[in-house]
Amino acid sequence: MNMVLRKGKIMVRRLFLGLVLGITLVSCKQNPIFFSISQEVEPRDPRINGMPTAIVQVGATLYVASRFSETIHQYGNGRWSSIPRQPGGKILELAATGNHLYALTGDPGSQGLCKMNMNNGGPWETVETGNADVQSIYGAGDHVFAGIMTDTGKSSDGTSVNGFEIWYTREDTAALRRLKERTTFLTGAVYDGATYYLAAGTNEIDTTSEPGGGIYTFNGTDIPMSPAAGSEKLNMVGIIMVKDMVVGITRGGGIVYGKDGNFEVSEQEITFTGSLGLWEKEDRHLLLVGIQGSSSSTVHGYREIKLKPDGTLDTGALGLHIPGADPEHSSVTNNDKYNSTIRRHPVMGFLQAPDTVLFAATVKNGLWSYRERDGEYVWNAED
Amino acid sequence: MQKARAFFFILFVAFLCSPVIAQEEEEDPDADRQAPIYSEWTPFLYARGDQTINISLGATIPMVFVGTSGIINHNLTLGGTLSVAYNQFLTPELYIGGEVAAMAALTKGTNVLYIVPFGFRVGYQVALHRFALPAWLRRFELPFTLTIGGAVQSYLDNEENYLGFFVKPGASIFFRFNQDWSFGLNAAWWWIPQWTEESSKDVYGNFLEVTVAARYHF
Repeated sequence: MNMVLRKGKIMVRRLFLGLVLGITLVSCKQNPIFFSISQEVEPRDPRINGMPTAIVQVGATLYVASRFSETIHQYGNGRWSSIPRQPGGKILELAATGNHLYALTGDPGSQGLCKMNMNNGGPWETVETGNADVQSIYGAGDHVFAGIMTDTGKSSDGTSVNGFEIWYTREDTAALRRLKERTTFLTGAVYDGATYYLAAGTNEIDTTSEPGGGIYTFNGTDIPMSPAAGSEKLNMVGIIMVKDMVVGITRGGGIVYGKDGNFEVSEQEITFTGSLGLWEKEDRHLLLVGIQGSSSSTVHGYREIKLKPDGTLDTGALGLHIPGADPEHSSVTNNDKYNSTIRRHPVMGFLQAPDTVLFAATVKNGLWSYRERDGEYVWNAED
Repeated sequence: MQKARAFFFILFVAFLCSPVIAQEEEEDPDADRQAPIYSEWTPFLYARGDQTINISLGATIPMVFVGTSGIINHNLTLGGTLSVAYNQFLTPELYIGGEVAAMAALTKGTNVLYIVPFGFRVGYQVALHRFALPAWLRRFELPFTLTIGGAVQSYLDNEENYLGFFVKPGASIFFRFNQDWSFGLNAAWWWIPQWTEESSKDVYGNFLEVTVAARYHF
């Protein structure tokens, strides 16, 4: 009996020593959780809550609204206010041209489009949509392009599914007109001074939407039936002008860049949300790209692509950098603060205001900004 | 840093092993035939082989968190904790066992920190029935416990994890309700060091645990 007890004690002691040794060995090189928590900042109540619209700019003023609210907010000279004349109804999306602010209003399925000349303060003018089911709007040059959902799509087994078309309007016109049928979902538009570039995602259900996603070019009068060379079949989720270079991104991590309608793709192992933004401070320039983790992940935020000192894209260095990892050339000065703040949220839009404050529209936590708070620069909800 | 780690390692091993060794040295082959330690029998007398299971429920209060540059903001709120422990008495006072617990606390940024400690425990209990006190006071028992083991720590929905040391000295007061049950209060200190790849991010976390507990005796 005593022998059994003694063996048992020896076994327990060895088990304990093994546990202590094992824990000692694995204790190092793990996540610094307490340190990360010490870097957290108290979340503020966002002025623009929920899911913000795109952040758009007319002149030196930024405009943004909370989707399904009835108020468009403006930011100029470092101050927020509501615009004096609201379009009426729920705001679904905003877009801007050089002089006009466009608002998609109403409820899903019964949207209306209106515009206001911001140079003279209004009034809001209705843009006829022909009862089109407008899903998205993007301003580029003096045009606004709209993604329209139809019921004309066909799946592989012949059943009716949603299809998509691209329509457009101009500052000097009062109606949307069809630009292209049987396309895919419009996800962005830019203008390089001569040509409009329209980004479209893929539609895996509608088999009639040939030739699928990509970047369509439009010279103001005609649009080719196929996406630009090098962008065919790509699931485009965003597009931006970086100086004279058109840069788009695909959902699956592709960075598509090119000029004059010819594109190349650089693949990255990451998922992009579709948001793109430019950031600059003195001679440091960045292209910001929103990223998304898995559905159960809390690692989102964005990555940075370093641009040349003149703000152009360095096509030989398209690496994605973690914000704050190189504080000398980053939009943030502290990677730990970044990790504990906006990294937790998918970002759907960026815009740097003329006063250099960087704004980000999160997917459901409102409008955020990177600015000085309580003596340090941190990301937090813009209040 | 390495020296400190080695020092604590040796200290903990020595501390835990010492009562076990001492017990072995004091073993008497005639122990089973010895007279009871206490001349007066009480219903609550402990003997070698007695066992208890403790269930505790309460709160953890984040205390001082020390980083390499000094005290840091822990940014944690009051947490909740639940633990289960098993004890076996080696003598009427000395016991060993094991413990597993779970705690969760909200952070300043509205995230949740989860800690699941587990480990061996050793304890010494002072039973007041030995003393010439009023009858009701003699039903109180005062166990002092040290738990040493590991703690699984998780933050940001398992995006950040840590498995590290866990040390928990504690003291309790129990009222022996009947032969099978006693109820009481625990107070314990959680010491949770986090040694990381970047030594500048090493933090020594400290929590105060205050719980109510029920013990089943068998």
